[in-house]
Amino acid sequence: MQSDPPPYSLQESIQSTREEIERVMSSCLESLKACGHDEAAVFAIRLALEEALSNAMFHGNGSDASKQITVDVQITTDQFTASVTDEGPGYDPVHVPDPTADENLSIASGRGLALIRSFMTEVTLVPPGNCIQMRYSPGGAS
Amino acid sequence: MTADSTLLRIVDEGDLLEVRFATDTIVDEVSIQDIAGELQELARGRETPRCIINFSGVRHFSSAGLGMLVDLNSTVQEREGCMVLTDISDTIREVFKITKLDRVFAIEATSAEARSNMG
Repeated sequence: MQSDPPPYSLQESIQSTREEIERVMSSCLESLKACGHDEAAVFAIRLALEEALSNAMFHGNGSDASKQITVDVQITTDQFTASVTDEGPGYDPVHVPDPTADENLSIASGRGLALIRSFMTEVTLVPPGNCIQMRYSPGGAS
Repeated sequence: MTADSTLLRIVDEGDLLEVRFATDTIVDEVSIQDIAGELQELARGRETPRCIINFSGVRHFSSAGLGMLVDLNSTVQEREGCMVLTDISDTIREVFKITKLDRVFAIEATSAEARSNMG
């Protein structure tokens, strides 16, 4: 009988660059597949983690490569959890206009958090808002 | 006329532009800004832009990419042109649905259908 693959754990502080984000994404995606997560799960997690990291780099750290993004990812066969923290001042999501409201559909930005919330089972924005925690359990997306 | 940049494949038929993406993953903010610049220039260079944005082969598309399309659509609408998105995979289509952008953009199953309906 084949044993479960070992859980995956990544805990790093990375520079705010596209190259570093892609390195982390690539490692996580490999582990998701190794842990047997299906295509739908991989798509959902990839989207949410990519959005969180991009938000941290672009909005949180102002695309300043010298600023760090702290990433903590845990992957098992039945769950994905991640925490992404930037060095920015944070924000209150209450002040982000609902991008799905009719009057906001023509606004170019502001959809990243809404997408993360749609694809993840649980999302928490930790005050002051420069840290996002998310969890995905198959069959439990909100 | 066909023009290829590193990011886009563009077929310019004079009164109709068809644009395809050169990679399957459109998430990098800098690349998206470059794509936006190219497409905005193409749209603004036409009195009444008619364009098809063909998503064949695209597997990952970020919120920044959505924002780029929103801005491009605004430019096209200002010029009383039309823009149609085609060949969108089911998973990417879900992203449009969640963000309610399927109400904003004209979407057709294939570029052939879009061409037929554009006349």
